[in-house]
Amino acid sequence: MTTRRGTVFRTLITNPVSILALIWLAIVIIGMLIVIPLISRYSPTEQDLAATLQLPSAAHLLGTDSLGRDILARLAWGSRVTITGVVIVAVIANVIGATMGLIAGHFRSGLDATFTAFADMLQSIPALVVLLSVAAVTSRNVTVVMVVLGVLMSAGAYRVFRASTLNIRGELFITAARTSGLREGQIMVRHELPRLLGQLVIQSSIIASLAIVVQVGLGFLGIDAAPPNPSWGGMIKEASTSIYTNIWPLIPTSAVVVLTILAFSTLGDVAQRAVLGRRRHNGLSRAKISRSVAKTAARASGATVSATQVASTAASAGAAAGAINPMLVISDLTVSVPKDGSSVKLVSNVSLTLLPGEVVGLVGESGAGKSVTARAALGILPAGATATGSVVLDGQEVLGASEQTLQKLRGSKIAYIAQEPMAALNPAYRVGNQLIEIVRTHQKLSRKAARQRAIQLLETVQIKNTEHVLKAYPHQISGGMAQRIVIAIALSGDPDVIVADEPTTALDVSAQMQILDLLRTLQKERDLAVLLVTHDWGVVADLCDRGIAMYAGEIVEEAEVAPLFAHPRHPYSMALRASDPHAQKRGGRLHSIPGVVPPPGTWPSGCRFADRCGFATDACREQAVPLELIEDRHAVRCIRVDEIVVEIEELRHESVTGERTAVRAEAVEHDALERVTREQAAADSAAVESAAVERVTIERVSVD
Amino acid sequence: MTEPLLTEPQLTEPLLTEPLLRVTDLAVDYKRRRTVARVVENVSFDIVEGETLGLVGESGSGKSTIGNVVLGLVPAAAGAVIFDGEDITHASPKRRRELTSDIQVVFQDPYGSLNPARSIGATLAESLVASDATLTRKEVTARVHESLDTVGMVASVAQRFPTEFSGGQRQRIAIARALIVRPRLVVCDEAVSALDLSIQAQVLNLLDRLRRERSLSYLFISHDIAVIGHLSDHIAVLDRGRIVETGTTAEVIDHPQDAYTRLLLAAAPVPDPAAQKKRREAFRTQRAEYLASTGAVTGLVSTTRL
Repeated sequence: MTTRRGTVFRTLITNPVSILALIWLAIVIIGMLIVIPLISRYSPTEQDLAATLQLPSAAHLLGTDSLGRDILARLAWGSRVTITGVVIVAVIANVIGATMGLIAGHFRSGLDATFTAFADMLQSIPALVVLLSVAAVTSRNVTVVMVVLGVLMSAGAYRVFRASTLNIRGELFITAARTSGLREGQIMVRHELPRLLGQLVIQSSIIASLAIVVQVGLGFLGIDAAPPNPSWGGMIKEASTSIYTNIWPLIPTSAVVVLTILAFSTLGDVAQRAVLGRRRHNGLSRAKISRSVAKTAARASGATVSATQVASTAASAGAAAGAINPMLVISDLTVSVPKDGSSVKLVSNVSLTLLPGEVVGLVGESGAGKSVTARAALGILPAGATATGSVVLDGQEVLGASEQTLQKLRGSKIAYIAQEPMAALNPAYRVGNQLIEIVRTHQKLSRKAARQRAIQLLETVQIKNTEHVLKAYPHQISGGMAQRIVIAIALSGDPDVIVADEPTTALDVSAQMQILDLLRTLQKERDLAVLLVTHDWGVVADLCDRGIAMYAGEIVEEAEVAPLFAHPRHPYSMALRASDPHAQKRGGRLHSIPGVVPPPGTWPSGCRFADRCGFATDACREQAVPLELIEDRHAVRCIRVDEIVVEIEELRHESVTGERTAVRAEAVEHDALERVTREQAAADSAAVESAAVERVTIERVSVD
Repeated sequence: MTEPLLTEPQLTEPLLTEPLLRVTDLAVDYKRRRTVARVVENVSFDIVEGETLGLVGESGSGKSTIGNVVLGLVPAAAGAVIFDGEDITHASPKRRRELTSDIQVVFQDPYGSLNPARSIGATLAESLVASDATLTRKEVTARVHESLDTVGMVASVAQRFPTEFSGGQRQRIAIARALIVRPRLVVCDEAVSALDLSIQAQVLNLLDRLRRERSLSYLFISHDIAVIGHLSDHIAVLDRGRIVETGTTAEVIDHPQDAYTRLLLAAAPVPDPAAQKKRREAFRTQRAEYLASTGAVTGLVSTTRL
């Protein structure tokens, strides 16, 4: 339950409910506590027996009580007792609770056990009895009573702060601070305490509202301000004595008390939601994707391929001629998110086709729009995003389809495998129970039969000791095993298409190899169509029939794997492949692509890769570059595509005849890519300027 | 772009040259409730000043644990960690804090390792002030800017917050934080593993340049032997808490002796469909061989590890 400083405060001053609460508290604190006592014509104890129990009038705005005293004046003066009491309780409870919670959570060990035992003890004490005794012993000293109440209430606060600290101390930046040489005290004050501030707001509000209840209660019992001095509790008691003759004095008094309590607890609620709202629920939402029920009967008669789909038409030309209906057709897909009043494109005019049983790799750096495109295939868009174009899954339009239709498609027609397998599994349940539950949403099976089916699924993903795995909790299994289980879940509805979003990126190379092997086997056995998102050309080489390179929200090259690897034609494809550390010779500088992908909203109007391209000329920057077929089933978005071939050939020739004979020809090719390498610093500073936009986009994209 | 090739790794005589870091017979235990598991056993290696040792193994092999022992984050159950002639295995917390100006770290996760609520400048300055409290505010600012400059970032970055940067940029910042105190040894714990491959190359180049400029030593920890090969002079291969092979980078990568090393080598996919097909087959063969030779069950070999 950690939060970034500011989030909670920002929510409190923007949420309409909490604004009302804050306004009320401002009225109580500024108006009653300060202003009214200064300007009021009446003293709170001034009696006017000629004007008792009056209704509101110009002279007495809230009427008078049974002794003819002005109710508004008494409420205002009485607020002193209450507000002082609340402040004492909140400060003491929070200071003790936060300090001890922070210390216990940070150091754990013996201190933790001692403090927690102390908190247990405080919470087991009957508070009211103690408060009454204290009041009796101190002859109704309200301050002392409130101090004791603060101490008693610190136990609850302690638990909350301790739990929050336990969470924060596990974060990597705390370890980083330690390896930076910070003392434990410094780590607590600088790194942990600021992250408890949100919690502090919540606790203060909760404690304050409780403290008012207790305080007014004590006042009602006569244990606060000595009569005739006013207090809220005392006023309620006085008003209640005349309740049968005139109910009026009770109304403004209790209204003020109730509203103040309500205001504090509302603030606490809103703050709590602000803190909780920041926690992501990936696990649940991702698991839901594959949980759909019936098999869809909708097998429409194949989608017509739109003219805009130059690349995909090319790639699937042969297939289309053979009248094979594509499994998935994305045409002219543009996804935008609103930002600062305008809309920012995350993906622009993407078209691709996936045939039955075909594996297509969508490759590019982070920020290229690969995941946005792939998820659109399941009808999932980033929060608040709008999409134009169409996504047709086995004849059925996905964009704009009802949630019910999507639910039917997901799982039984199309399934999703996410990068982080652990996030797709609920840590609180055994693997077996999760798997069985999902099996039963697909098929009406008895629990026993569903268990059999779960075991079958685990065997499908080559897990051998299935009984053992079924009983395990997600934290007890390795990442590779977790990914196998996620794949089993994806297969549970017997889908035709699998969207795998970086399925092996979070794994070791060795586990990756095995997961790729598994995916290949399953794909062949079940003739699955797979859309594979990756930044790793090696994964494409391993698994795919066709590769699509994306850059800054658009497709830059599309071809079958063999020509794509043998003769990549777009400078980005070349550079991306050349910069893979796995492919490079040891010794010497590694080839890399300078700079970063321009974030959405900052894409240049000409070629989007031009600023990082070693072959770019002024012409490249002039206007948007179309995706064009350069040969059968090979499309490239580059106006210099033919010239570049010649340039590379020349460079290679030079090097062979020249002094650089020792340098391999490929290396020269890479050198050409880095020729116009700008200084890294310059590239970075440019990137920093646009980073704010990127931040918004990254957050948006990763939220769902 | 004809930068000089890296000098061939020099075979140093451990007996003649005092290593910067010497780890001998290290063992580490993890206690879980009542059971004790030995996760690292009998690990010994040297890192000479200016050299890089690559520590490679699967997740669970204990490689990060070894890094954490060197950093003082995890206690050693047996053996010794000797830094520049001083036994720091059981150094006091005070001595440990002093050592942070000599031994620094770059973690894997560039998103988690920077406190999102603190500006980049504050994070960097904090590290520096902790190592030398006598610096004036002006000196601290100058050093912050200098260290950002070293990693190729402009000074204005100091006023910004971590969320404004991409993974690769954050990793540069993490490197700047490690280097601002001018350490002699940097533990790079999967420092590039979370980055895009194209960005990995950028960061590896940066680490390589900094090493040459400052004669830094790295303990470079990764699961990816191909990545390790680019930066390391020596490589130690770790399998289930034990070192199964050590040697110069050329020896280990070009002439692997151990079946497990060969398996790791075959596991990283190469961006070439034909070559990758061969690797895949090699991986299967190696796996069978390794299984036969050890009868061991690891994540790499068995699909049934829990």
